[in-house]
Amino acid sequence: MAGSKKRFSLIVTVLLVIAVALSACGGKNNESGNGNKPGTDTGNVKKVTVNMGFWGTAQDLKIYQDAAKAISGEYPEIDLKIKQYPSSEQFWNTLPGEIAAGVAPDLIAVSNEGAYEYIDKGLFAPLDDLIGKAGVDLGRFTPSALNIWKVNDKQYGIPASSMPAMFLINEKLWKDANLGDYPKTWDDVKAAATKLNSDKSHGIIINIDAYHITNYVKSFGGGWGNGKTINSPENVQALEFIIDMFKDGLAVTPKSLGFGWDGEVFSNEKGAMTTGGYWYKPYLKDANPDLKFAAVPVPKGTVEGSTMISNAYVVLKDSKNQEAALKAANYLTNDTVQTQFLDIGYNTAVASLSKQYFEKNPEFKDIEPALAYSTDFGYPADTKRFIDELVKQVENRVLGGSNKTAKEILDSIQEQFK
Amino acid sequence: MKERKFTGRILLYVAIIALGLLFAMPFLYTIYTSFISMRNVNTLVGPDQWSFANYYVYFTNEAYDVPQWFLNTLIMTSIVVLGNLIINPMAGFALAKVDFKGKAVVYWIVVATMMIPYHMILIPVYVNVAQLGWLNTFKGLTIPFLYQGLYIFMMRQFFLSVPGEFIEAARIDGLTKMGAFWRIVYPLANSSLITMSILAFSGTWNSYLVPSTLANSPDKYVLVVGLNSVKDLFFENTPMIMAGVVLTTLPILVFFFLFQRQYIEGISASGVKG
Amino acid sequence: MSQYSKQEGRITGRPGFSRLRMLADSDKALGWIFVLPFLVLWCWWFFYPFVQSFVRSFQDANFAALGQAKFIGLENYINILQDKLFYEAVWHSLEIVIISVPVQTFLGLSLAILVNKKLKGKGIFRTVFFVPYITSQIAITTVFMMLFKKGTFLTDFFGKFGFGDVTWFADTRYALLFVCLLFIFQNSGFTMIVYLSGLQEVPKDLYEAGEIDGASGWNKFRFITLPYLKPITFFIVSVTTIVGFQIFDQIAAISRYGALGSPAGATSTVVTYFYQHGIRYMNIGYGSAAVVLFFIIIMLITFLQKKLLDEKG
Repeated sequence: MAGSKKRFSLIVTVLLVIAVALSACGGKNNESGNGNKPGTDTGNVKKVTVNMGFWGTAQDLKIYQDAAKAISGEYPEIDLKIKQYPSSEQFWNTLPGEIAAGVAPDLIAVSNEGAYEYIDKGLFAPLDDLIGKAGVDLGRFTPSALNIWKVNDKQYGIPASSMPAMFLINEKLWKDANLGDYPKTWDDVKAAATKLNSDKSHGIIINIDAYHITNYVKSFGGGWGNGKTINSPENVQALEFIIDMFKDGLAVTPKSLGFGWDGEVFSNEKGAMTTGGYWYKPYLKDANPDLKFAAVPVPKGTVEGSTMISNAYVVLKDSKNQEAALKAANYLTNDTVQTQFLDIGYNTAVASLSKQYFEKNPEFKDIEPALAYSTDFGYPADTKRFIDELVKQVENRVLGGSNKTAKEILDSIQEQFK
Repeated sequence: MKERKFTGRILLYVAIIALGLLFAMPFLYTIYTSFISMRNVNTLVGPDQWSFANYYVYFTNEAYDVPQWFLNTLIMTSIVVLGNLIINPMAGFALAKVDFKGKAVVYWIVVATMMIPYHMILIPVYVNVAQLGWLNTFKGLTIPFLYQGLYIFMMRQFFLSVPGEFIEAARIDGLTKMGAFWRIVYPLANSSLITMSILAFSGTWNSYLVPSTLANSPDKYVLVVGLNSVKDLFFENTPMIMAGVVLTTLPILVFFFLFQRQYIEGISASGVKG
Repeated sequence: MSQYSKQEGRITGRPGFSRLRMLADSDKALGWIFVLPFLVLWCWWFFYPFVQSFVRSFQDANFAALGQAKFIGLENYINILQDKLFYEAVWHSLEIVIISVPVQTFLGLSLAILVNKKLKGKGIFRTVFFVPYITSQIAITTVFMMLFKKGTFLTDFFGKFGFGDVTWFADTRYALLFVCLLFIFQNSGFTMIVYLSGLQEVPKDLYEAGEIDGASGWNKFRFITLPYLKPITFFIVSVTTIVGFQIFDQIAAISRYGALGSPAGATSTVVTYFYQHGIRYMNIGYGSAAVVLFFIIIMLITFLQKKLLDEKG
């Protein structure tokens, strides 16, 4: 017995030695990685390579690739390389490893829905000292969008797009019910939902999802306060409203009908109203081109309030070419490139161009005022953990057997994010 | 007697066809969905509304290089399957038919290895691959996966049922035990090896998490990763996803269909006589 | 064959070769030679990463800020063991295994026997039964999700047996059962093909001998086929148990628009628990501790299974 034990530990030791030796050998090859080298000489101009990472659609990729070709016109010293990541989840999961291995991009395009977590962890570079050097004019951008990317008085991103949340209504169902003006408050919505509710279609779609819940919260004057005000009375009031809508049988969450997200329910005309965003337009064009919809700002609970989605260019702290990266960001937010993004359906954060967006997309005209008062999501630093927990608890209340009140739900979440 | 046999066969065919339809249905529905447009998802429409439009998107967008992704997948899968065909049977044979010190330890190492889902060590593996400078290379995509605990275990179970007399007979003929393995036992295990190749092939061909983590640059995308990165809009386009699935699955189907025949032929060729 | 071996026999007369020959022939050396390629790769690509995780499991470490990682002893383990969600996840994993493994073992064997018979077009049937296993799990899950939602003929049908006419994967009562169905459906092709190759190994003359003795079909199966399939059955039960514990893609697909383990954590498993903490939340210290605990649990189960099935190596 003792002998076999000894033998076993001997074998384990040998294996450990082999493992460590092998990985040490591997470590030496470190340099061969295609890391971002500070600068390489090519001909007369000293070229600096800026690696830019994003994830998104084929149309986005095309614009970025064209911009990478054209950038030398303005910045001859910059060689812009575009890399499309398979998905955002995939990008975030591997980013720390890429940084550790020195292969992370210098510049990335991110949305404010998940960025705070990484700003808080110190992965992004504050840009204030570089903005002057790189010649970026912050005055060109919509103030509310710029503000979203200002955390603790430091600017972390150059905003590219800004789009407030909206409330979408199935025009035909609305007219058939003789409902008159579109709703301004959640009370109007509730009254309308009662009339719109039928065997075929639900009054309102409330997707149990952080984006949608946050919009309700904002319209009641609340917000998550980066984790400080999760159980504020305003938030409780908003969640109570949501839960009541389900209790009264007026609301449906896409999942319980077997749909993935609110847009599918809306396009299948199984729900007459929903909170949503600009992506509804291209989606409905494909999924149900006959459906006519109206878009209004998120109704008032107690105040005018909604979330704003803003994509921005962010420079990574570990980038060796921060200034060049910011210059590239400056190029990507110039009028030419931003007009291209405008044409494929994004509202640019460049204030002077933004008007065109609402001319080109008249169905969103009513949303324009919301640009001024829409704000960031304000999720806690552990963003993903927070939204998972929020969704889970509300799902449990609506789909599962939980009897927790809105206050109990938010109190217990607040407890975890002190 | 004969009549009973006949009705038995009829029943057999009815049962197997019913089961076959049940099993084929999701894939048939996948194929169907890949031909329709988004507005028709979740409904059944006639062939007049079917089209290759979804497939067309994959091959016409100049930003994407589907043939390259296909080639990448083929290279990755071939190397991995080849490695598995050599390394796993050797280890499996040693565990089944060779007496050596520390065999029990190796056995439990194999068992332990197949128990940890790869997700769970993916991050350290990723960091190691990155430090070697192997990200976005075939080295990184294949070398860590040349063996599989699961298949070693499988080969061991198969070799256990090979009668020891075979090996002894070969040694009397003058072969070493190693020679007996390569010349007698390995060819004998034909059907098991084919099974393992099919499993390794489809597992590698279909994998998403590992290649998307270790090779995330478009020129090194494998098919599954690349097709998933083709998003034409802001949301998931079910028919396009399904077209991607069909494109990915067809090669494995062909591979499987060709190889499953080998079962029978393999057996008759090696002439097993218990 | 015999020509070759004679030649080799002659060569081995030389001293240098005889040492080589000894290596290739003695069990002691051959065993290690044969497992060496595996062990080298294993040390490098499994053991070393696992040791790294093991070390991390005693740290408070965030993947985005590894520089600030600090040793905290057993705190991660204590926190996990005090988390009731962890037990919920373990219980769900066990449920999946207990429900699915027997069903797909039996189904796989039945299918294998069916397609091993002399049938017209059996190649097609084999392919058809194997298709779910090789089709992407996301696709199959998507199709199943279309079938098991409120108001389809399937949920109507099950409604008659006391299941509510609801969307299965959105109902906390049925969501886990839905995962089991998916797993059984997909993996039966795997168990079938393993059994099928097992059936090929049964020596034909045993059947012939049985026929001479006048054994009935059932007896032939019971006394000839089954004993031969025992190591394979052991393999299938162990492997499907392990795979059952590792289920992830299906659950990720079900909850792709919500929190992993949706609805309301009804489909959370040990792997989703790890994935959420270790990868999604970047809390790799905590996640690594979950890996170690997972490893211990599944090792215990396998050990018990081995004892239970009394496999003789």
